[in-house]
Parts: sequence; structure tokens; C-alpha cells
Amino acid sequence: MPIIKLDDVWKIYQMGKVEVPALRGVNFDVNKGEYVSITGQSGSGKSTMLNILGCLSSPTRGKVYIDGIDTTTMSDNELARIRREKIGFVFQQFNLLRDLTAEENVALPMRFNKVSKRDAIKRARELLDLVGLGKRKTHRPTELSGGEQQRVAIARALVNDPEVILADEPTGNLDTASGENVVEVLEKLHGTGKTLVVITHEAYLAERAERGVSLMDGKIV
Amino acid sequence: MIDLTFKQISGHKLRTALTIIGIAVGIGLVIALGAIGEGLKAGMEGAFSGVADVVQVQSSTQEGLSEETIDKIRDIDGVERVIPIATYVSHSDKYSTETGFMGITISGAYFTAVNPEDQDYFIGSEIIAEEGRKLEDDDNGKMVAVVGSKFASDNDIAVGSEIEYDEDVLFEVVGIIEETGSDDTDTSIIVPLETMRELEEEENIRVVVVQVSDVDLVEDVASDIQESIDDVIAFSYISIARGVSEILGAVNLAVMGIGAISAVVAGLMIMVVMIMSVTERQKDLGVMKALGATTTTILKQILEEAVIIGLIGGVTGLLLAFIATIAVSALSGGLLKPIITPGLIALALGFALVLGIGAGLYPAWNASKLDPVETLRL
Repeated sequence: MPIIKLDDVWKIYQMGKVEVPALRGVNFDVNKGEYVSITGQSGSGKSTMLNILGCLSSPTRGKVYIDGIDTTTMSDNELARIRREKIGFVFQQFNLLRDLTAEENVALPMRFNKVSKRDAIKRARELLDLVGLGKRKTHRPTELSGGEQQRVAIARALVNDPEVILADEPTGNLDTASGENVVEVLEKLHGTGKTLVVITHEAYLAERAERGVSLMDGKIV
Repeated sequence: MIDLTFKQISGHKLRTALTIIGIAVGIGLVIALGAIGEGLKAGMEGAFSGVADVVQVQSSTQEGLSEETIDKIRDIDGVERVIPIATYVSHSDKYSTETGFMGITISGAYFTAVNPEDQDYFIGSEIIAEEGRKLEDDDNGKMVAVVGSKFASDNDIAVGSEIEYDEDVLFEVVGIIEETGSDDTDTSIIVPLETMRELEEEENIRVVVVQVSDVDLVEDVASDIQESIDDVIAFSYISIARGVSEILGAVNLAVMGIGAISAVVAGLMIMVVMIMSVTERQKDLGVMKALGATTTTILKQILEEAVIIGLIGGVTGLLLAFIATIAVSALSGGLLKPIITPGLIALALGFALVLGIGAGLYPAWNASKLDPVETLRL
């Protein structure tokens, strides 16, 4: 059974009286433990695909299954639970909360799961050690380099031990060396059995995946 | 996640501090005014507690009250005791007494003339003579006086001293009453009624105080006296107390009005600050939702911030009110004794809580409804 399954997914945006389809009948499976890249030009539907895969928005038509569960009829709070427990996000702009330290940022999704602060921080520290930031735990995002911030974001994505890591242009805001470092961390995680879906427009990154799909005009080609 | 809430609040110290000051001033003002109202009420109750069962009767003419009139008063149902009284001012300018009211000094000496058996009605049966003795039954007709402790100390008077009522008219001080804390007693000169009447050649009594057997009958007795006896004015202290109560009620209404305005202003301040905060943190809130925070989690987080700001404002307001009441008490020379009651404390904190929730709801609702897809694009 695939961990993610998109079945004839359409996403149509209403722009005034005009309907603009961003995804047109996409069928797409990701198996457990797989490393998949999704590429495409700007406007190809990559971001919409990410939002649908990450349960951040619902399709206009079609079905989305995460770990065999149909998410299309779920309430906002049920979708939040899926995002919290099944998916770990890594964003291009890191999206760390500026008022929180590295360890507090990492612990945040656990706190949403009603885990105590003490236990969440303990787990966050272990993960920061794992991504090589053991000595930067109490630094705020503004005190960290781009590469370090992205590694904090990766640690945050792992904190609830999700099935899937969804990385949106994970190296997009990084220099080559930092980008390589981040990719290595992600690939190491894939090596431990995590499902990794990377959305990118960079060919070299897409080629490192076990399987690649391309989007054009809202369709997989 | 209260620690995260405090982090957010402390992240904008100046803005939070200004909001808290605004709320504190509003709440502090209401509580201080309320405490002054409570103090006035308690003071009034204290002042009237000893005379609640009393009707004062005086002549409506220059004639005074004759023995015949006083007998008629005694015969009225509900009357327990009739106490004649008269006050006189010394013609001498040797005396002055500092009062407790903002340190104001009154000049002259005020003589209260009563029958010796009635003196306890004025100074209290528990109050003793600190030096010498109180008036005794056979003092009527003698030139003797007992004085309050403050009058004595301000005018260097001891037992055996003489007080001048008029040129060559001297009263010998036979006792000094212990300090009571009440200006009425501590600055008084009490002399026998018969002595004064003889001195002033008065046939009639100026005023009588009528004690009533049951406090509930006071107003009935006052109106019975007024209706059945000619040329008298009868009034009860209860009716005065009721009048003062009505004034205090109006003051309380005004306080509530000020409170309502403060509530609206403070509520708007919290709301503006929270709307600003939510607008600034839209992206952070969107990230939180993307990471799995539910609508309720976001709603609670923003509401908590508003409530904590409101409560800190409430507690600060209480402290300000406490300081203000001390200042008011000191400035009035102890005349005004504001009281911060548990009810006022509960009101301040309850007010702050409701304010926080009320003002936080709209921004919290807006924050909880943010679309993570939209906010992540920012």
C-alpha cells in the first residue's frame, strides 16, 4: 500500500469568473521508504502539488490518501493531526519562529501533540545532535547561518517521527556547500527508512532521487 | 504552552508595557474611586451607628422647648428617653484646637451642656476620665467641666485649670477624658446643663435628643412628634443617613460610568495590540498551522496572550489603587479612609479577565482562521 496516493486529483482556483486549473487529474503514488523528486517549471503546479501532498489544502476533485486514509473529507483539525503525525515539512525559507530558540523550534510540533515541554525539549536536543547542531541548541534563528537553520528545520520535521518528509526546495536559499550538507542529512534520513519527497527545480537534486516525476501545466509528464 | 505565550508577550516589551499601563490606570482609577466610596460608606455607617435610634427635636421658634413640650414628647409611643442638650461658644479668644481634617485649626471653645446623668450618651459609657473624674449628679449648678484630651493638650489644660467662658466666668476642669479618636469628643468641653441655663438665664431647653425603643420606629416617632406637637422640628439621623446614602449611590454610579469608559478604552487597547501582533505574526501562525497546530491551539494561544496582558494590567491597577488610597488618606489627614475590599479586588481581576477575553476574541478568531497556504507565501 502506498504511503501517499493521489487519485485523479484536480485543483481549480477561481479567479473572479475565470476558473484556473492548477492540477489536472493527477494520479501519483509514493511507496513507503521511497525517495521521490518532483520537478517542474514555475507555474507547472509544483506548489499546489506540495500543498495537496502535505494536507495544507484539499483538492477540488479526486482523492488523497495518506497511509491508506482518505483525507479529502477530513475537517481542518483532522488534517492538522495528519500534518502533525504523518508528515514532516522542510520549507525553502526554513520558516523557523524567530522568537524561539533552535530547541524550542524543534520541540514545537511535539508541543502541539500535547507532549510536555520537558519531554519535547529532550527529544529536540537528541535531534539537534543528530543534525550536527548539538552546540547551537539555545541559539535563535537570527544567530544561525542559512544551512544551520535548514538543519534545525529538518530536526523539527523529524520530531514527531513522521512517515514522510516533504521538502520544498530545501536547498533553494542556501549556498552550494550548505545545500550539499542539507541534502546529505536528508538522504541519511532516507537511509534510515523515511519516505522522502523533494520538490525542486534543480536538476542535480532531482537526479539524486530514486524516482523522479515532472509536472507540466498541472499534469505529470 | 503558557511558556510560549509569555515569550510572545515579552518579545514586545515596550508595546506590552504601554498597554499594561493603560489598563492599569483605568482599573486603578475605578478601584481607587470605589475604595474611597467604600471608605465614605464605612465612615458614614460608623458615624451613624451610635445615633441610629435617635430623633433630634428643637424648637422652630426662638423660645426653645418648654418642660411641658418635653413631657409631651416623653408621652409619645416608642419614646424611651429624652435627653436635653445645648451648645454654647466661649466669648474668649484664648482657645484653639487642631482638628484631624487636613490639620485645620478651629478657634474658640465649644461648650456642650448636658445633665451629668446623660453625659455617657455623648462620650460613651466605656470612655473613662484619664485624669480627674467625669461629671457627677451633684455637679448641676456648679462651675465645673470635663474636657477632651486634645482640647486639654492643645491649650495646656490640666485638672484644676480654669476655662474662661466669659469675662470673669470661669469653669474649673475636674476631669480630662481619655483620647477616643473622635474629634467630637476629643475637642469637647462638657459642662452641667443647669449651670449653663442659670448663667444664660434660659427657661427653656434648646434641643432634646429622643432615644427610641426600637430602631425601626425612629422615622415614625419623628413624624409623630412633628405632627402632634406645635412649633418643633423633629428629624431622625436615619433620614440624613439615607440622604447621604443616596449621594454615595450617585457617586458609585459615576464610578461605574468611569469604569465602563475605562473598560472600553482598555479593551480597545488590548484589541489593537493583539490585532497588530497577529498581523505581524501571520507567517509564524501559518507555520504553526502547517506544523499541525489546530484552530483551537492558535485561538487559545492568542486569547492567552490577551488575558495575561489584561490580568497583569489588572494586578498593576490594583497596586496603583493601593498607592492612591494611601496618598488620599495621607492628604486628607486621615479623614478619608479608602478601603479596598475583597469585592473590589475580585472586581478588578474579574474585570481584567473579561476585558482580556473580550478584547482577545476577535484577533484570536482571525488568527485561528488563517490559511497556512496563504500565509506561507508571505
